[in-house]
Amino acid sequence: MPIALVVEDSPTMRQLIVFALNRIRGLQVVEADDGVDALRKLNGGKLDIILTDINMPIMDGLKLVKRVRSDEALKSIPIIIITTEGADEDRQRALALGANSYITKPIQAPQVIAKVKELLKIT
Amino acid sequence: MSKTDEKAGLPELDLAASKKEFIETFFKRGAEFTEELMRENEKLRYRVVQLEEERRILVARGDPTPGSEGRTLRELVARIESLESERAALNKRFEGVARESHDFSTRYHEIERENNNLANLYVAAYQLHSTMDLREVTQIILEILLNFVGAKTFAIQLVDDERGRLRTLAAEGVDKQRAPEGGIADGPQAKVIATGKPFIDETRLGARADLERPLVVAPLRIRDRVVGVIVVWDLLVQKTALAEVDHELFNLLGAHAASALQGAKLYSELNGNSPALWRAADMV
Repeated sequence: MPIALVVEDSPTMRQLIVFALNRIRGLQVVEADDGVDALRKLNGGKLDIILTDINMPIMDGLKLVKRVRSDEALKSIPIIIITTEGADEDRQRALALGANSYITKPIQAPQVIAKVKELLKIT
Repeated sequence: MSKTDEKAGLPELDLAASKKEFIETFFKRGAEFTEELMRENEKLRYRVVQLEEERRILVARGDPTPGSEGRTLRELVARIESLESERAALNKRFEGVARESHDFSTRYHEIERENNNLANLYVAAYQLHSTMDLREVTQIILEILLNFVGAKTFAIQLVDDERGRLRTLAAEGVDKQRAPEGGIADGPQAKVIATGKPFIDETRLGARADLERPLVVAPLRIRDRVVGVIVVWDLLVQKTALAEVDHELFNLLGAHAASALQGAKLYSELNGNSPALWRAADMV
């Protein structure tokens, strides 16, 4: 059973993303408030995909992408970043650091589902 | 013998020879012709036998009665016609199934959209009442407007009855101090406060924020009393129109945001000393 990690400091946004992901049959969802919490919950690479916001306290999404990509056990986990309109620079930086894809706010559930399915190769 | 005698005897000899030759040729040709006729006759008889045999086989295969070939042909034509009409019926049925499939697909997408809309509304309502902290409630309202509606420049303004003006509680995309705080008696805000119905200027869709001309003014109500407004000046660039769910979100915020703010404010006035809930029983 694949597991997705949603990293978002806003409970509202996090709940909306989790709601969307819960519609993917068989996908389990784990939530984290920020990058540090995410690294703790990554559990040595036992997760299958990460969806992360960029602007977060303690450790932001860019640092999280960098840490994941430099960790031998985690570096192959696909990462989707969640950005706001106008944050092109952040988006480019995240992609350059190794993020696989991005979603722009306001998020649409079908878009989230499609991206996750694509990266997890779920039909 | 003179030349003339010689010539005079020749025609007689030639005639006899010619007669003989003619008769011989005539009989010879006659014999040949007769033989040819006999051969031809033989061939025709053979052909007749062949045709008779073919006919016998054909009759043996089908109806043995006379005229069966025509009947078989008619039956074949009838069968073709029947198959053609069957094909037409199948085509019609296929078209019906294809149309039905298209209808189901459309309905599926409609349900999918409604499902997403309901999920958005559920999350928004759930979050609005998930805390009693005034700052958190305000932040949640801002997040709903930013991340669900896709508003870019907007403010939450509350009615200050004493000053007869609107006061900005929070703003996004514009400094709180710069958000115009109009009087409650003029402009679209005044109309919304008086009627309790949202104001939407569709001509402002896609335009950059003009703080003098709001795109949306939505009421914040406690029961029938409008206690504030949400003012949106522009939307995120990828948001080109207001969808049905956006109107629903404005309605939801109109009905729930003010009471959530009011509850949070009252709670803050208690300095965290919330009365025991069971005491509420005496008040009901």
